Amino acid sequence: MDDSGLQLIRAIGKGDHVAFEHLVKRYQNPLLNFVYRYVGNRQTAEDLTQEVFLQVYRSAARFEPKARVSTWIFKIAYNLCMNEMKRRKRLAAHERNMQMAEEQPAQFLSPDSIERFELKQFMIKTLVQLPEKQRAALLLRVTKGLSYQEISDILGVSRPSVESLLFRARKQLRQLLARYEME
Amino acid sequence: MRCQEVESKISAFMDDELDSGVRQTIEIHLDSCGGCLEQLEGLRKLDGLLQKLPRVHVAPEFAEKLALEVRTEAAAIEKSPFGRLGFLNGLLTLAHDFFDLLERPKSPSTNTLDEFNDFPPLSMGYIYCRLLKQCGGE
Repeated sequence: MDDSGLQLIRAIGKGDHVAFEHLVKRYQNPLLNFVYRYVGNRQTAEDLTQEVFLQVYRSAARFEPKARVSTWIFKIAYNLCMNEMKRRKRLAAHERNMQMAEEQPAQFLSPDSIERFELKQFMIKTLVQLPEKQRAALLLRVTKGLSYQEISDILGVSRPSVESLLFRARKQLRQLLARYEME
Repeated sequence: MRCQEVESKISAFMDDELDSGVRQTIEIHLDSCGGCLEQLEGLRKLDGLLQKLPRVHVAPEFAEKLALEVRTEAAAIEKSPFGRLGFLNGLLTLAHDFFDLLERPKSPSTNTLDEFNDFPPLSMGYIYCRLLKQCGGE
């Protein structure tokens, strides 16, 4: 059990704003990166990350330590991401909203760097195209290192389903990557 | 174990999420199957690429801004008549009014109690209305 996280949540539940700030500092970058990879847009990711923390603050008093604090926080993030994706689908703006070339302009990089840069851009773009649960499972596993049980708690699916989601996500990404390398 | 079965388990194998028995069976298979070993290497490469994707960072003042926002939110709740203290005060007012009503002598000169002879239902309504009015007036 994540004891220090639990202590922070307890303190936040009692209205301790300093504890809230500590919690934000602890999880802000891992959360932002998870959300960013999930939604593929930096500004949306920042807004959603902020919303995650506000929800944590508002529901801290009701937190029951059945799962780790980090699992609970990522579950809130996942639910908000799903809502965001649903909203985007409704607006049919998913493709337009993807902000792919926000890091470095390719013309300032060496040919080798361009290749790596393009590969990373391809990976980000391809990730966003994976089915939502597959994408979430893959990000939680590969970039956060969560166990299958923790992922199952966050996504609300069984452990064998997590295994299957990860298998299919990796298989699909590998196929797309192989196609990209052949081009 | 056949290649097809190994393929379906290789992702979990890489994540070290298999029972020791299944894991051992796959290890034996990988010792003699180049195709499956290549698959495993491919998956490892893929995970490596995902881990190397550029990371983003929040603005330095992110936590402070957010803490300020929740402080403002908490302050607004405190001020609200239905906020923690406001709600408590409301309950206290309700109790006070209730006992006040019971204790107050019923004089024809007052226009508060005569109409509530059928106490308690209407008088409770009266108190409730007064309370709401008080809350609304703030």
